[in-house]
Amino acid sequence: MGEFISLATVDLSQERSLGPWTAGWGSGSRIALHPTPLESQPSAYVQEAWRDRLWGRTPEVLVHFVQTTRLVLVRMEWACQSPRFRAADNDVFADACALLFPANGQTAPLATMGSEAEPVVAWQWRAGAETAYVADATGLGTLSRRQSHDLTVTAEWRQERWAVVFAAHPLAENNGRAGSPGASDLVAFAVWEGANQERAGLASYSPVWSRLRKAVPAGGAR
Amino acid sequence: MTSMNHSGRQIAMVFDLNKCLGCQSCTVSCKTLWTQGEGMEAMWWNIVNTMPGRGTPRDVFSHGGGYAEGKPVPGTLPSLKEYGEAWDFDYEGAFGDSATRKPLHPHQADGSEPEWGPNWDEDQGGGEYPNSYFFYLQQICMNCSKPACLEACPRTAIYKRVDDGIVLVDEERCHGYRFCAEACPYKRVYFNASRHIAQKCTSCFPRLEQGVAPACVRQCPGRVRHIDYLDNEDGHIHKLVNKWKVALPLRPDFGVEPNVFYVPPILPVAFNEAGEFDESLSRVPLEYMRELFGPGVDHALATVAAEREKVANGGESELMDILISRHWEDLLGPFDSNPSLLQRRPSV
Repeated sequence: MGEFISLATVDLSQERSLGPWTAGWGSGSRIALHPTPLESQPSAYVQEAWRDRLWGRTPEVLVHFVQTTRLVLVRMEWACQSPRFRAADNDVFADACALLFPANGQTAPLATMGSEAEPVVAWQWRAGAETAYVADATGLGTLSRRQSHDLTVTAEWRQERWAVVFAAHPLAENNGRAGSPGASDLVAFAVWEGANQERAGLASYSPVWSRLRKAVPAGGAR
Repeated sequence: MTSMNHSGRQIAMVFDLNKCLGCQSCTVSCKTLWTQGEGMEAMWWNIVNTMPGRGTPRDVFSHGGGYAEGKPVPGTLPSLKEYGEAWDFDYEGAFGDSATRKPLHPHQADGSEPEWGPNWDEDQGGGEYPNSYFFYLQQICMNCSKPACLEACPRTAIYKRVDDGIVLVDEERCHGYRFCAEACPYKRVYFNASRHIAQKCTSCFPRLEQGVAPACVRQCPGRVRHIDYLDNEDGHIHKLVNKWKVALPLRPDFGVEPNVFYVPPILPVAFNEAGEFDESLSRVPLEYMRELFGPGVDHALATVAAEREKVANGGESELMDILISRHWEDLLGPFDSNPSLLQRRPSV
């Protein structure tokens, strides 16, 4: 098991003001990231093409979780010196991030991105995409995006850092059987550096589940 | 849907390079039918390039992909500018007020002058005058028997159909990772930045399913393109590829076993230093032909030459009859239905 992440509770008025770079998120938790393993890439081509390349160079992501009576908000912030705001050309890849949680709210194999018996749910953001994605996975290469969900996302790059805020109703069935990472104790993270052509299974990720823990109310959070 | 282990029938095509006019009717018919949508402006699923030339995208065969000694070869992703952007034109300037009228001139999206485009080096060719030469090379998806694009996709979003061997992208599964575009050695997979998916030639499969030949085949005024199942022993494809062995894969060294085959161009006789035809000299270097079409090109060229000679001397030749194709419907194999006679459901 990885680090604990504080789950803060805020009132509704403050929730409305929580943007990517607004104050009021609290201190957050720093989650160490590592390159995804090459041997787990489901394509022989990817394994061969990336054998001598470096990926997964984002060392950590700063994570904030807050929950209200209405929404769960997840903020991810990480360093990115050369942002890619959209896939503007054939050889340009957009920056992206995602968080993952067990669909049953209890547990799932993280290294394989879930299994048939224990699927996982991903919340995804890609720079330039009009919407966030909610997707299910039962193993590597099986990610399947849902057609309907209520997940929203806002993102902004500032001072060589990305900040991305996901927001969803915690108990909404269409965001995952657990509703959200707020309803599941376990959560994991991934970041893709577009400038390094990272995509698919080539990313920086947290290789073990982090566990959410209710935070002691402090400051504006209660 | 199937994987690399395709065991079903295979639709294949043969392009006779001796008959291509370079008119791009195939290209335009494909463009009109398939790539009018958002994000497809610069897509040319079918393209005809002058050879020798740098091709589309620029330096088309130098971007890696395919296989070497059974292993995938890492490829690169040519940029939009290397493929050639969809140009725009200042129509108002060309057809407006006569005092300020300017010649119609292309420009790119950012207003700059184009520096490259599809078939940019049209009709430049190679060789030194008077022994200069060129020919046209048509390219579409090759529906390879070992499709590198399919193998490269980590999402199994590309599949090869059991019934006809056509390789297709499942646009619902595709997430636009573009490993397929890297892995295709012919660079026939495009990226739609608006929809963030890969797209490519579909071999007009909805037409094939109705017994209608692909648009590029049917619209070709030069009778260049033959289509049939590769295993139909009575069909043109089998006879040209397997019986007469005059239709060859393009760049067989890429290791993907393509299912589009080419009848190589008959090599024109060269002038000698005295300015006279020398039957022993060819304008086109044979080594260049071997590079494009593999070692079988010597046999193919010799066979076509021998059969031409036979017919010139009053004899008959099945091979020449196929290549001439006096009845154009014969090119279409089992896909000879007339699309204008199909019963169609009204659109909803």
